[in-house]
Order: sequence, then structure tokens, then C-alpha cells
Amino acid sequence: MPLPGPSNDDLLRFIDANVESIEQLEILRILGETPETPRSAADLARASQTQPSAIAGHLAALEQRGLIKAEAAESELMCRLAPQTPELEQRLGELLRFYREHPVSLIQMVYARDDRLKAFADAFRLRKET
Amino acid sequence: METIVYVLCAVTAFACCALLIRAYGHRHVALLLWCGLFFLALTAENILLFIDVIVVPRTDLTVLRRGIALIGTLLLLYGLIGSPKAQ
Repeated sequence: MPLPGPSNDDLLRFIDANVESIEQLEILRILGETPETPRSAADLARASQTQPSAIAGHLAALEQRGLIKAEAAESELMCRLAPQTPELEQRLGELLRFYREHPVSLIQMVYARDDRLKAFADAFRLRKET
Repeated sequence: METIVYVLCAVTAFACCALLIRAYGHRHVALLLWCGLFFLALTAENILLFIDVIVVPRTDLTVLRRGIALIGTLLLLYGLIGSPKAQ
């Protein structure tokens, strides 16, 4: 059933390119609740129910994609939402809005992907779909 | 004819390696890295095969070639079965 707002294809493309897991989606949601206030990695791990040993990897991946900014401060890693381009900012805003309004649908969309195999198949695409 | 086949095999394996490593640079999915390394080993094996059969036919590089293929296969198996998930 089609849902209002950004098309599922747009969202799927954004998720495919930028969000690897539900944990990363939750991290973005939590940071989106207080976009001006940095949150510590430990705090994010607790709030997103992510293993503390895995949180650094998630944060590094999101930072590498230009979605968040992570800075070390007094032996803690502090993170905040910081999309690097206006387009990313718009897409991220749409994603977070969609997540607020249709959380179950979005989680189903994320789980429906087979990340590893799709990533493997996508590696051989010479032209990315726009 | 043999030469062309060996060269094409090496080029194809290298192309696969390059595409997978490039994708790993974008997506950071561990499977891409391990598969890329497997194809790198395959590339090396094909180059060695070319050297073994065409360049230095009197020298037997079978053990070296098979060793590299084994290493590549082990890397692939680790990536498929043994490596912890990235998340």
C-alpha cells in the first residue's frame, strides 16, 4: 500500500546508501530528537539498545557517510546530527519524519533487505541507480 | 590462444577485486572486503599461472599458485562464515 510522503523507492535508496541496520536507524532517530545537543556514545548505546562494543563502529559508519559528527571530549565520544549537504539534510529529515509516523513500515523496509548479498550484487553495478 | 585466456582470467579477477574493494569503500560491508581479497588472490594466481606456463615453463610454480589459491579461499570462507558481523 503506498504511503504518503517520500516514495518508498526514495527512502529505500537513501536507506540502502546510508543506513546499514536498525541500530543505525535508532541512533539517527535519537540524535534527531535533540539535534543541537551532542549525545555520548555510551548514552546512545543504552538508548538504542546497541552493544557498547558495536556502537563505535555504527557511529564511524554514520560519520563516514556524512550524517553525524563525532568528537572526542574528555574521554567520551560525543555525537550529534550533522548532515554534510543540504540534500542529505533533506533526505535525513524525511527519513526521520517517516520513522516517527510509520515506524513499523520503516523497520520492515530495513529488515526486508538482505544487506550482505545485496551489497555484493550492487558492487558489480557499474552505474548506480539515481 | 592460451595466453589470451590466461590474461583474460587475470583481468576479470582483478576487475572483480577492484569493484568489490571500491564497494567496500562506500558501504563498509565486511563481506565485500573478504570477497575482494579472494579475487585479489585469484588475480595473483592467474598471473602466476601465466608466468608458470608461458614465461618460465621449465619452472614449476604449482605449489606457490595453489598456496595463494588456498589463502584466497580461506579468506573467502572466513568472510562468509567466520567474521563477526559489522554491526
